[in-house]
Amino acid sequence: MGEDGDLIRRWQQGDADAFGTVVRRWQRPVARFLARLVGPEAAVADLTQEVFLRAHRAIGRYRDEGCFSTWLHRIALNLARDAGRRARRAPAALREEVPARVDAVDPWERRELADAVSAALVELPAPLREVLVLRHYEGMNFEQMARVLGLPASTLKSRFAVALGRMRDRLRAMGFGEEGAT
Amino acid sequence: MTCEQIRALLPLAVYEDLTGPDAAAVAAHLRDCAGCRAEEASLRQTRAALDVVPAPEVTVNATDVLRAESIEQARAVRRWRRLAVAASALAAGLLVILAVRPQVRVGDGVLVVRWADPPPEPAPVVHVQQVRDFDQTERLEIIAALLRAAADDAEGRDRDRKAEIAALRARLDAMRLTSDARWEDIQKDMGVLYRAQFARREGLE
Repeated sequence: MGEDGDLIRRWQQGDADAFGTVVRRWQRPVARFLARLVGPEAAVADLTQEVFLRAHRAIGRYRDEGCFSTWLHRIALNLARDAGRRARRAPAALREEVPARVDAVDPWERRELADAVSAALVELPAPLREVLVLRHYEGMNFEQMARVLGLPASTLKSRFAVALGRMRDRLRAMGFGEEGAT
Repeated sequence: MTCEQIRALLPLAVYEDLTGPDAAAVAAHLRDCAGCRAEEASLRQTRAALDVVPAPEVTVNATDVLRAESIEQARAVRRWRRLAVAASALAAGLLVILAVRPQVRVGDGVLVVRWADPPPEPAPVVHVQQVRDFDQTERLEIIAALLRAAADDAEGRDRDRKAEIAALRARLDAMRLTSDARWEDIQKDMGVLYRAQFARREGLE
């Protein structure tokens, strides 16, 4: 984070190379985060570029308090919410049932499972999806999530429990996982 | 804890987010409850399934971002410039309208706009004239009242003077009468004296 701090100071002073370094360092995490929030079929590359564009515009207002990751995630989250609002009808196209087997192991089944998980994620209501993505994919604890989402950790824990349960139920409905699996 | 309470905590337990008494209670419950163990297993399976989703490969070109930003800034400048031009045109149009003072009339379903002929008497002037008329009328009334008061005053004074003149005339008449009477008395006295004088002379002679 200290290294980020130095880069960010240079970026704030107009150093284009520092900005380029920040982009290279954060582009994959940001793209991954966005893909899981908005779905794999969304224009993740464009959204990722938009995140850095917004970050570049707002970098003058950023105060380095060791939470650049939180700040960048918040920008990405707002963009994902905007994109979600624009494409509210899009998930319908992803809702096709994916016939597959439990515990897919071969590449084809794995691909089907990945598609099913992506579809189930997109189907989750945004508040549940956000908390699941931040906890599972971004590996944030509930205090970090509280800073990104601006909500109490206790609320986020409740949402997370509901989100994981719904994912499980949806995957079961798609044929992945079985009732009473051990 | 009941199964329901334990199951509410299982998602957190699957992600090792439980600590202290809650973690111990869940672990103890799972040892004895097959149903909750199955629930926990299905949640772990779900957690594992989430990992199957591949991360997208995205490359962002920082130069493209900077170029997009400069294009956006240029667009914003153009937008402001257009806005400024539009505002200037609007202001100029308003000035022209104020200068020309067009007459707009709607009659018989026809809209008539006259640009050239100024109104014979612009409304503000008429308004001012009306105000002026009002002032003049008021002033005239005041002057008339003053004149009436002056006339009343003069009439009063005239009456007084006439009375004085009449009194003077009466006194003069009285004085004339007195004078005439005295003159007559003097005439009489002089006649008496004359006769007495001449009678004495005649008697002496």
